[in-house]
Amino acid sequence: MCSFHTKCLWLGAVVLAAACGEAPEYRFGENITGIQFELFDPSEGVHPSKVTLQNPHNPFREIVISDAVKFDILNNGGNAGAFYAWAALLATIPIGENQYGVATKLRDIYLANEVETAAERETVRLMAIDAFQAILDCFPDQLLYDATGTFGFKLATLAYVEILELRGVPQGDWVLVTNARGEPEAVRSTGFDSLQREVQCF
Amino acid sequence: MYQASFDWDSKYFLLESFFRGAGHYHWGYEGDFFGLYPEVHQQFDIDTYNANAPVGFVFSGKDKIEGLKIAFGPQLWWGANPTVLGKYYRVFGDFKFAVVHQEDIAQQQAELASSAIPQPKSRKSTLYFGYTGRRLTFELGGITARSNFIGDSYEVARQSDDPTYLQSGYDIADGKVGFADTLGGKAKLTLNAAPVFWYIQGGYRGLVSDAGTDETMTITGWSLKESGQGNHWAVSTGLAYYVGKFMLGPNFLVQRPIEGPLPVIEDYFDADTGTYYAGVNARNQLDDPFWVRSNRETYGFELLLGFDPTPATPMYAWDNAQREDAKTTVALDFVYKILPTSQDAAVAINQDLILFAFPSGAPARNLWDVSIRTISNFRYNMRLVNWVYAGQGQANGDDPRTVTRWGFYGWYTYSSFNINYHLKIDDWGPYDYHKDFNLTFPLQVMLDLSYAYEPPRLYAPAATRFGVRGEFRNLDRFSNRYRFDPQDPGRNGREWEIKTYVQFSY
Repeated sequence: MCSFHTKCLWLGAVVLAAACGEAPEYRFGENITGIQFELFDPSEGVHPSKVTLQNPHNPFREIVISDAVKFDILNNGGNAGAFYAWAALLATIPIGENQYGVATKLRDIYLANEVETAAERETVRLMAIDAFQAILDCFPDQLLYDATGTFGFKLATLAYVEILELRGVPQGDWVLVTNARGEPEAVRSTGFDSLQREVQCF
Repeated sequence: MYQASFDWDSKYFLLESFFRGAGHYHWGYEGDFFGLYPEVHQQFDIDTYNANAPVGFVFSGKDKIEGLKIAFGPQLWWGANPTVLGKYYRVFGDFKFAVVHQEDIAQQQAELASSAIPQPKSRKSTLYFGYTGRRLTFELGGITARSNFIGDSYEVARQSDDPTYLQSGYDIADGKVGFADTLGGKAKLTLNAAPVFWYIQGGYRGLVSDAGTDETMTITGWSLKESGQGNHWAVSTGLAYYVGKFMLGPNFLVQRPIEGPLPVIEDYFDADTGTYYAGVNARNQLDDPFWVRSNRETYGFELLLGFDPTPATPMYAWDNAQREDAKTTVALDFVYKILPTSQDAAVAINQDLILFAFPSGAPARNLWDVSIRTISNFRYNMRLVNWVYAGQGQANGDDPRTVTRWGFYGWYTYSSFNINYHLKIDDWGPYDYHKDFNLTFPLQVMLDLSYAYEPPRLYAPAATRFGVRGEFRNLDRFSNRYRFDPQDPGRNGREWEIKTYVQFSY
């Protein structure tokens, strides 16, 4: 039989152990090319949704990715890894470039069929279309610069073409015309910013 | 409305209210051992930023609930969250006991001043026991704070000679706040063996056991004190020796954070292995459960020298500049701090009034400061209070430049006539952002002459008076609004202003 004092000591030790909690875990790098895409929410990666920051499967949800590294990840980080990285970037820095990066990775996941079921694949296709559509709706005048930072591509034109290639229909009053340089360019047919359908960008 | 207050004094309680105005005192001498309820006498700063603080109520029990105090309000001190503070303090002979609890109701939004950025919403509880003997006073306290942070994740860095994270010289680890991190304790022993006085104090504070700064005076007016932030342990000791009209007071402080500041490490992606190494940034109060600022590693030494012929008006009392009745008093304060590490990042407000955190803190540097305050009563109605200062300081932000500054400022009264003045060399400007962004001026001069309806008081929030004020300052490359002149590269800019004013106080 334990004495009262012994019981008190044990109880104290248990309380102390519970109070101290877990010791910090040393951090090492994380392999992101092996990450598998998992459907979490259809709005993930589509501006203005920030749901990716609540996705426990997203390893970047609490990480600030630097500009110097984000393009490396986009090109070499695997489709799912790059998607999660750029979705986190978009949620914290909502600009057209980040939305375009997320949209292209959703497209790549769809094209490479990196999901488990056909239904999920269809959902990813629709997510990719929504992500490109968000560029037309929310970042219509922004440019995508090349590696030298000097020549800009109009994101709206790139997004418009991608939507068509994904068998989608661009929403709003966008049309594809040939500009003075003889290149295709997406423009608003009415010239007005206001859209007939309800669009949320904030 | 500039200020308002009302009191309700009944047989069972006293209810005090305040909106701006003269402010209120702290509870440090009545059981608030960890400084949860700070003093507010900041009318000049509050007017400068047009802030509506402090605003709130204090209920003080009488009769059978003697010792009970409850303070509540939307902003009990400048930058406070809407909060309720309850305290029960009793004295039983030589023993004292107090329990204090603070419960924040909501998160206050930051306004214009970076010195009054609200802390994260939290709750705090403290216990206090005190014993006062014939010569010895012993005090002991415990705190648990920010239990709402339990489970939050944080990063720590450990220096290592082995292969480290991204060859940074540090191993990086991720942890979660546990209950033990909310706990802290402090003990203090004070000896009164006049003419010798001595104290020793030690404390341990868990990572998130934040409280307030110690605003009480221990023996004499030492400024070197341990931080009120959590995440540190500290030991301090000081001795005051009175020889006639003179006082000699050395004081020492050793303070170390439990988890030091984070180094800045850029993130990296290894395309060959597909491995991403997340970057490390300095912690800050917007994103992290704790951070290293005032609780940075410090080895400090302070020496106070005082000359006071009339000890009935203690020269380090908070209102001494107004009450001192000696012909002349002199107080010299020298502080030297060895600061062997950097800090985490400060939070400031940018020109678009958006709250942001600097990427890092000012670097490790040893700093010194010296100041001399003199009070001269030339006649019963003629007084000069003057401060001369010199020393080094660091910006709140991440600018590595150490500022070495000096100057003097003061206040002269002759009956209802009043002069305020300052002359500052290479010092920061008057606003918070000057120190945040390390903006200094080669020369700042101010002279203010005024005549008041009644003899002005130093701590009066306002007085009816009229006067004239002149201000001048030089600008160089460290000053905001400085424009470089390519025709005359060495030329400083200058700004000046002369104004007359009439101020009414009803």
